[in-house]
Amino acid sequence: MLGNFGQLSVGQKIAGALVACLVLTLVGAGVVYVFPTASNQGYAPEQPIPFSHKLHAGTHKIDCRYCHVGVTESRHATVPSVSVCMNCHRVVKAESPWIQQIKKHYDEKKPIEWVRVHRLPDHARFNHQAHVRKGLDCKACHGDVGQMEKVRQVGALSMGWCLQCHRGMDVSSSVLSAAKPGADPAHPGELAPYQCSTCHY
Amino acid sequence: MDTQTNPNPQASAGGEFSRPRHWVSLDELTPEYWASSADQEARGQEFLHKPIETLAAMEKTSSFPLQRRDFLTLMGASMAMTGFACARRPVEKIIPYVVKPEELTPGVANLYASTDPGVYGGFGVLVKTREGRPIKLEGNPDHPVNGTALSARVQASILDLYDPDRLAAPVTVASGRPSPISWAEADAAIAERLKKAARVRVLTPGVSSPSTRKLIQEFLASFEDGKHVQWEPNHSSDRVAAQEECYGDGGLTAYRLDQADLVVSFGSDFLGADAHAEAHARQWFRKRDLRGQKHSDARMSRLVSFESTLTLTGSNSDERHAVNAGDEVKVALAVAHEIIVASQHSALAGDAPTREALRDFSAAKVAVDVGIAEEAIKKVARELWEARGRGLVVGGDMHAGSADAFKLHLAVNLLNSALENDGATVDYAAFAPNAGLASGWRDYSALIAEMQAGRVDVLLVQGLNPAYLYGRATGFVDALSKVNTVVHVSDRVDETGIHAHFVLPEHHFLENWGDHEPRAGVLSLQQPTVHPLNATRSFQDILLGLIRAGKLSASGLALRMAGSEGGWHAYLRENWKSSVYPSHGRGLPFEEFWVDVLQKGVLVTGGGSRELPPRRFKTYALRSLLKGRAAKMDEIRLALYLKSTLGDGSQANNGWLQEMPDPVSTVTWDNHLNVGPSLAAQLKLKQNDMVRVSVGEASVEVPVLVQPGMPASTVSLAVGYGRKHAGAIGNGVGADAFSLVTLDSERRPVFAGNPVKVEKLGWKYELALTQGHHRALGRPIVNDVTLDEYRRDPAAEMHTNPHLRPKSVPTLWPVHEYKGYRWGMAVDQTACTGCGACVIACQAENNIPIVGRDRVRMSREMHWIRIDRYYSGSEENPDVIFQPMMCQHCENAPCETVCPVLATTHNDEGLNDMTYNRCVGTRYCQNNCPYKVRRFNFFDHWKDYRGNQNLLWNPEVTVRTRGVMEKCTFCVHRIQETKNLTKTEGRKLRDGELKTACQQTCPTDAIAFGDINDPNSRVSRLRADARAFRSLEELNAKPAISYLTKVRNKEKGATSHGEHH
Repeated sequence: MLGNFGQLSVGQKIAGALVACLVLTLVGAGVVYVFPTASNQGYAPEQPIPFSHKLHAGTHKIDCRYCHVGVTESRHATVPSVSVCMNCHRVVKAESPWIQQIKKHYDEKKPIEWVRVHRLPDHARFNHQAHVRKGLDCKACHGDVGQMEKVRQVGALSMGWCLQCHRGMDVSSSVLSAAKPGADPAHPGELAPYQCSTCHY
Repeated sequence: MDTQTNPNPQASAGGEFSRPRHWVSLDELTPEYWASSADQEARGQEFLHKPIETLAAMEKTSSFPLQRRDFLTLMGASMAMTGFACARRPVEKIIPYVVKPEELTPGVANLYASTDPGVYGGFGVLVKTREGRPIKLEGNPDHPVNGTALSARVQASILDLYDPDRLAAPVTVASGRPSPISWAEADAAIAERLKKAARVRVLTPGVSSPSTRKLIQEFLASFEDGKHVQWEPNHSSDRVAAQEECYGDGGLTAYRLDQADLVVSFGSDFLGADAHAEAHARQWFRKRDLRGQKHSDARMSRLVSFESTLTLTGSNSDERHAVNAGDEVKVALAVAHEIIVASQHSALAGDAPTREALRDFSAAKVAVDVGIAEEAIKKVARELWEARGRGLVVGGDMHAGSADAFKLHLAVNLLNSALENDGATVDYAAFAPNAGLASGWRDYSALIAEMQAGRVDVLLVQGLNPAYLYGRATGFVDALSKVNTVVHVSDRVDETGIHAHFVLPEHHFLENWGDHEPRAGVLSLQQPTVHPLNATRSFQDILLGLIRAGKLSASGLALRMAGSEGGWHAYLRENWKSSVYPSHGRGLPFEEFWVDVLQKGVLVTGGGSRELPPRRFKTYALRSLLKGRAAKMDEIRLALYLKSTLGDGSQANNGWLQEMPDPVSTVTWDNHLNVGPSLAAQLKLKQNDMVRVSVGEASVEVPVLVQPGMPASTVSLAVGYGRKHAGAIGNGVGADAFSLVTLDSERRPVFAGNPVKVEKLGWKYELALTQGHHRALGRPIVNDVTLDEYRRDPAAEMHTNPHLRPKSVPTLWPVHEYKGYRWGMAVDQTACTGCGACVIACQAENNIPIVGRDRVRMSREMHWIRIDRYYSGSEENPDVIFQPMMCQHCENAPCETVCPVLATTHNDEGLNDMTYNRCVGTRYCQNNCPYKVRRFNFFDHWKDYRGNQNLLWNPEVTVRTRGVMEKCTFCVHRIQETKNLTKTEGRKLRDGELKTACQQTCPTDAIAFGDINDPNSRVSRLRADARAFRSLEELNAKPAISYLTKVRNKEKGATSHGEHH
């Protein structure tokens, strides 16, 4: 049959291509549904500077909020500016070639282009402040970053994954280990909201 | 449906045609309309457009090479291919700051107080910035002039900042062709010419900035003969000149509308096109607010207007009289005659010159001459006299700007003085003295004469486009050619720029420093909120740069600062340090004082008014009334007017303003000749007929709009259109009506009253109206009563209109429970002036695109809130109601039940949620919405954004893509943000702390929003008001928005229709 391909009219070729596309799309959709790899769970890209969370957050036990300052006041946790690195590294291990590189960025006022690891699906909103305020541990979503040499996406960041907690869970008696009891005196025992407009607007 | 609730007026009257009480278009007043709509429905043709037929027609006529079927084929293929492209997600970067600014947290908005210089004095604004880019303007609540209110034009000015057509570098212009040069070259070249120049002129609009005025004077001190000419085209120069004539004290006056029980307007549009309309509306409504008053003795002020075209002010009048253009002055003088001569009232009653001047203007005579009822004049005179000291007479905006405009202002002043309003409701001490402003037009005329005579060496023009502003009449362009060096400081090479030698690009106000004195004793600071987007400079830095480059001998501070690094910013600080700080520093160190004022945005040093002794009206001024009285004219006259949307056209490249429906006509993207229904019949003109409108030699070609409320023999046309060098958006939109302006024998501009020739061209042009899209079909949507009726029974309308208050209707749907907050809104239609500031505020807040004229014609505009306009009464002079219409967030929402994918759902706080990524675009919801508030994205409108415009997007609101439905969300992102704040602070929401974008900017506070589960919230109390009703309540959709009946301060049936017969 393939041998006859050249004899088909243009319309037939396009129609054939369309049918093939449709079949492939459906097959693809099926595969994604069964093996949800599109969520990028486990994604751990190389970073321009091999910053080790294991060393900083794990060994030295630096609080997450020392660098990710936005997490308590904004929707974004924020990636620290170069100046935050230099707070310590002006002195600490200043001779290391990687630190030299950071210093170069700092001196030349050129920001470091980190590779984004966690990315929510389009049209979904997430507020770090609201979750941290409830006393949720960063680990609950990000995994034990203190043990990661290279940051890896642990949660699926899919809607179903969010709803595991949001659907009917009593946040104040959370099974999420580090939730501080009574963190929100105004609304004790309030259920996590799961309206469409909680995340989609 | 029984006949009781059948809205069809024809059926309800048993075959006899009866008019609907409220109507949208003139067609609805004819039996044929109802017959044909019933007929259309029967034939299955009730839709505005049939998609297949429309497409077929497009295919036949389209010049686009791709046919529809090919297009669909290709689209199918490309969609399939996109499926493959999604396999791996793209690598995204996060690029944090090198050193994060202390005050900035990504994801959190910062607000800066600043000032929009606008038109003379400007408005206090709070600039909302996200990650360093301004995204929204809101009124500064601490500012005494405008408070939280901003007009549509100021709201839209943020779009001008990101205008990709802004000039990015200086240019030299030779024979109309600009070529870029560097700033150093421009400085050197201009400085070289300045060094040789003796006669230098700086032409600007009225400069309200004391520091800038000082700098200009110091710059001009370098020259043998230097002069600063201030011409403010947005304030009637006649109004200012008449002040000088009548009181010997030239200058601007301010209205105290909050002190006036009666306002009579002779051709003033103080609520609409006036540059300070929102400040006026704010004051005016304080005297009309019925909320919180006991109904049985409710009081509200009264507005009576006489005007030559239906303006916003006329639409909001309790009593309105249409008079032909140029006749306003006769009516005003007849009213004066009635008070002073006929009734012998006031201190001027015995004054011989006054009596002599008014001799020929008896009410009876003028009534015949002008064609309105004699009693109407007498009644206004009686009311004015009764309200003396608490009344206000205003007049003479562009549509009353006839050759007699100066006399009209004399008459207005005479009335205010005779009625003891001067000093009470006319505040002549409100503005700080600015000598240049009073003599504006005179100086400008003199400047053109000087230029013509070749007596100007260098002319610097800033902030004005005099070649466009009736340049044909003034001869400005011709005069320019006789000036050695013309430097235009502007944000684009416009109509004036192409005739200049140099065009220097100027900062947008959000990029610049400044100070303003909008009222005496009010100093308002302006600070930059973004780094300049292009290599532009402020006008002030340009002057300092020229002093430096030319080593000019400028005086004082300017000379000192020209040499310093700090430029204009340092100049401003130094000037404040020496002029403001010593008397108002309160013992603070200067730095602290400065930061304090910057933070507040405004420094109130006095009570907002100077202390001035009472002044006397010089009756000598009336001598000019005796000269050259206009004879009765039988010809058709023209009134040019300013639209409240586009104004004088300086913001013509602003797509938001171009697409904002004119509040009265609901036309977008065009100006049009307004012709009254009877005159249209007489001239055999129909809607959309193209006509040639000629005044003398000049003519323009425009489409006709049959406009109810026009006077018998006046047609009106808006200026501000027909720009040729505005930019990609504004070029060629509409026709340039400024070309129809003439100069009178004293070289004063005449905008109205000129005899006009209207010729039918024989072809049609479809105006892009937004009003015809959604038809009222006689259903009870809006409500209005008179004040007397309201006093007798606050729910008056409810009793007369049974289908507004259905008894409980059984429902199929489960009842919702709202345990926490429940959001609701109450809109007071008595308060709504229809100004449309909310429309643009919503557009800025919610990333709403513009769609262009063609798609508005297909009813595809995207505005989430629209102002519906309904008429009632006679078509010659109807009453007007405005109704802001947006998603009603119904409890039993008809849209929710038809969505096949649950993209629109009811949430537990009463919101009708719209989940964009679920929407597959069936548009069932749009079809099923009785309020027609849902908007569908037929295209990826965000792709039309050019240049830097994407910086304007509000990151809190999703930018919608093709194929999804959208609508008002009750600013759900603001709800989320405020709820988040209250949770962080561990408290419940405070009433009034959460405001939607439309509510925030409303000058009359017509919109209340909040938690209706809280019985004490303002919105709950208003929803319980006897005036509250819900639109189309009989459908039992249970909207979350209540409207409050419009109350008019007039007698039942008191309209002036029939006066022209």
